[in-house]
Amino acid sequence: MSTYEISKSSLVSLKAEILRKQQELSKVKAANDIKILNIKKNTPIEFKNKGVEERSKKDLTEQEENQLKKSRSILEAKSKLYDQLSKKSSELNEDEKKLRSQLLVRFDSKNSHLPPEESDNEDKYPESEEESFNESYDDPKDASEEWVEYVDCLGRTRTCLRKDLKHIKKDDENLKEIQRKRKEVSPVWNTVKETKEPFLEATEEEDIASISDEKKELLSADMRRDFLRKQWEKEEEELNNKTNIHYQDILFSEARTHGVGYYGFSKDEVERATQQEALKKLRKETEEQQKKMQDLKAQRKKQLAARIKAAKNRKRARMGLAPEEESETSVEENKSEEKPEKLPEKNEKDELLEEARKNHIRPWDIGKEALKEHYVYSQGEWVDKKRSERPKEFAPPSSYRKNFRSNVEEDSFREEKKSLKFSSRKDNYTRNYEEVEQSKPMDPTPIKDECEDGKDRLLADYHKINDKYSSNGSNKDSSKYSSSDSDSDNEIRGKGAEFAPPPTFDYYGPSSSKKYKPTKSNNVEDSIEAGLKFLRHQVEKKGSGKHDKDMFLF
Amino acid sequence: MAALKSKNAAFEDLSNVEFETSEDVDVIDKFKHMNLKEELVRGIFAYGFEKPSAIQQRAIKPIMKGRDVIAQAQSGTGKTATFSIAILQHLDLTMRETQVMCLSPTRELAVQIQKVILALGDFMNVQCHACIGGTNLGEDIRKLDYGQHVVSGTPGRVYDMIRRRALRTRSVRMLVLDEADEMLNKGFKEQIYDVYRFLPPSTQVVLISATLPHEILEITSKFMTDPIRILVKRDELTLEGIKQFFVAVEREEWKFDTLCDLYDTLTITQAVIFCNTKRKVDWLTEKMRESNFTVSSMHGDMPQKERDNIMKEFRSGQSRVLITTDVWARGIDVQQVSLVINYDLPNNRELYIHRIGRSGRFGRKGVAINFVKSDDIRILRDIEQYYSTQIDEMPMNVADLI
Repeated sequence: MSTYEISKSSLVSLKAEILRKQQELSKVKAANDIKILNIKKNTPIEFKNKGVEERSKKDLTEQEENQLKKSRSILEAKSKLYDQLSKKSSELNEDEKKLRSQLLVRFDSKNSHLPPEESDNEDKYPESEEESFNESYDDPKDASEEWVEYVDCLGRTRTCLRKDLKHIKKDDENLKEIQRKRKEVSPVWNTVKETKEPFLEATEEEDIASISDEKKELLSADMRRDFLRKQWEKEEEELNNKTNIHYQDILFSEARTHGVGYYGFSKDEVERATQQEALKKLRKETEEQQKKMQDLKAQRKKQLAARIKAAKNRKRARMGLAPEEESETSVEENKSEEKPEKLPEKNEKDELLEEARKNHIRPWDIGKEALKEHYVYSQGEWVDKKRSERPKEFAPPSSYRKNFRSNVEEDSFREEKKSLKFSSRKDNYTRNYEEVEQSKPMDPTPIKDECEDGKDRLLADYHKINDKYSSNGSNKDSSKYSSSDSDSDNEIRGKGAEFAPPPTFDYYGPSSSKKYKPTKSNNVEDSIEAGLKFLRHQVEKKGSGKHDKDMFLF
Repeated sequence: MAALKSKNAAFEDLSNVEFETSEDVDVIDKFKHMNLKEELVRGIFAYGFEKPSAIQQRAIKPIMKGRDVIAQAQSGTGKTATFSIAILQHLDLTMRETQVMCLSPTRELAVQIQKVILALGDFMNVQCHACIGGTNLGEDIRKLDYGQHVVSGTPGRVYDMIRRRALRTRSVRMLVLDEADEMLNKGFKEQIYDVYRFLPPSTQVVLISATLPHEILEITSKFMTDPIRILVKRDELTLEGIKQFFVAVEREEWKFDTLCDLYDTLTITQAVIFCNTKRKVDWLTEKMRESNFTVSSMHGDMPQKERDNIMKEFRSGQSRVLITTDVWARGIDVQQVSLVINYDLPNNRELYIHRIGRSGRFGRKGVAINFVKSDDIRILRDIEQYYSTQIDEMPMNVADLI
């Protein structure tokens, strides 16, 4: 309902508006008929809001007005000169001829292209356009009256009547000739053209090369696409026979802006080599030149310094002092030598980390054949290997490793679990046992696991190294991976060896013989309990100020 | 024993661990300070890089040094060039054997990486082969037989070539996984594992992506050794230069009309329109063409030849509007793309980042427009919040922003 009402009211108001406008129009028309006519003829497309001109008049200051006047007078003078010059050559006087020969505009041929001059050009213009418009759309009565497009020698697309085409082509030929001559005359132009063209437009040119010039402008979008596809196919076929493929070969006329240093090498291997050679030579020359300049600079500096020194010494001599001694140069040399001193310490850490990284075996790498040749066995891995070769009846009773065997089976590479839960848990088993073992000889059950998990132990190893070298406070990294590990490590360090022991030290180190003596009690849990108690003792003794992580452990 | 168990619990779960950028990452702010080969530096400048981007300043050096690296950076900030530069520096060009293997999720991306490596290494005369599916096997084998310094490919074909012994892996020193999160996702992980098993042990591994979800970072320890991490927090993952908008439509059918209204804006430079399914891409393409709009389309069900041609046309600027699926979402770099339209909202948050990242390449401006039905708005707000970004309603003058 509402829409109907709105439309009704708006219809009425619209009608009223139209009436009002019509009245207004007729009034204005009557008032200054001529003026409107003039404006319309001059600028048929121009629309101006009313009041704009008044405002712009107001904006004009006297100075601007003067400037406008001036520019107008200059423009008038110019157009006068142009008219003079564009007269037929036979009508020119000596001076004008001279002037004309200096300019690049070919006034003679220009005249012939222009439509015959009319007295009231302004008035004529829209009309003539209309004419041509009609002509191009009407069916031509005569083939020679048809409008055709052509491309001149400068690559511009132009339109003309078919009957004029022959004439124009001839002109074009002339222009080409002139251009050619000009090229020969000025070598600069020549080189610019030649260096630019093949490299910047190489792909484009080759793409369209096979199509003749007359055909080019007649292509529709579809045809162009088909043509390009064929072109690419051809290029790809060529690629199949090439052993070396380079960027240009697979660029396929991609529209990409390259850097300033871009150089499109030839697709031809031999030519490419020569181009690269040339570039290299240029580069070498530049470098030589730069070096020469630098040497020269250095020499000058030296000379200057020597001269200054001589002058100083002369002055000193005049004052009765001994000549100044050389000191500055030696100081400079000292400075340069100071630098490398700081490196070794860092290198040591890097080397250790590097070593740990090298020794690390990734889960996905396990079982690779090349691993054996590639890899230097650690003690644990060697034992592991030997153990796998050992006949089963010589193995320790299965009750020894009941806890761990169940896990081993899961350690397949294709496990579906996404998280690392599994591996990290196992990791901790070993660590815990290790800690316990420090306090008390233990049954050897964990050994098997240690070997299986060699890679994770090793990973932990270079975190240890990391910890050792980084300061106590800022130790984000270690806490992320193995807080317990770093702590137990500290304790070891406090006791004895300052260097981090090899990963398998705890089991296979000097004390191992003692450790592996079979103990009476086989109760694992008891021994763990005992070990933990011992550790707790130690920690309490040490005080909890430094390592709050210890608290977290228990 | 109880004490032991509780202690284990603290380590059991890496999902609570926050991965952070490694501490000892140096920043080198000039290419010439990176100790690169002279020819390589020339290639870098020729390709259009003048100053290294943030990720290039940080990641190139550790990769060059042989460390395993996990690198994350915003879309279009030169990640591909980062590892390409490091690869090229790493190569021994006198030895014509595969030394670096670079795997990516789509064929187009593999070809693009080949292009970048060849471009940067143009002055070094590097040989890089794109080993992708859908191409002639015999040719592939022949090309590999010539000897390639770098192989950039998709996992399936690469694995095939290794098994056929056309691709010898004994000299491979580096494995690069571009779009690493996608490569280590369910669909690809197995294939990556298969390829990895053929590489020499302790091969250097480099992971690169704009998005690296936590679960991906968790599994990296399986095949990486003490990696250097260069990560970006998710609230810094969207780029200032890419303006994001939405158009609310009430019904699915209205999306089409909206798209038609926007067509003039699309053709200002180049635009990519994302749909969620191949069938929808076909449907939309057909419908646009019926309405006399010029569009091209591409998806994974097309023959490779056709895909190649469409890529070339789009890269050369012959076509300006491309309707496609998520096959185009990751990594593809066409400088002139300044507008991305999500005709359908992507299925996950990561894809959103990758899709809108097709525009605004290397510091250029870009616009992303999302078509949302009323029930989609919630999803969009979720994305907005997750990345701490702003997605406003599309203004009338959107064309001015392109």
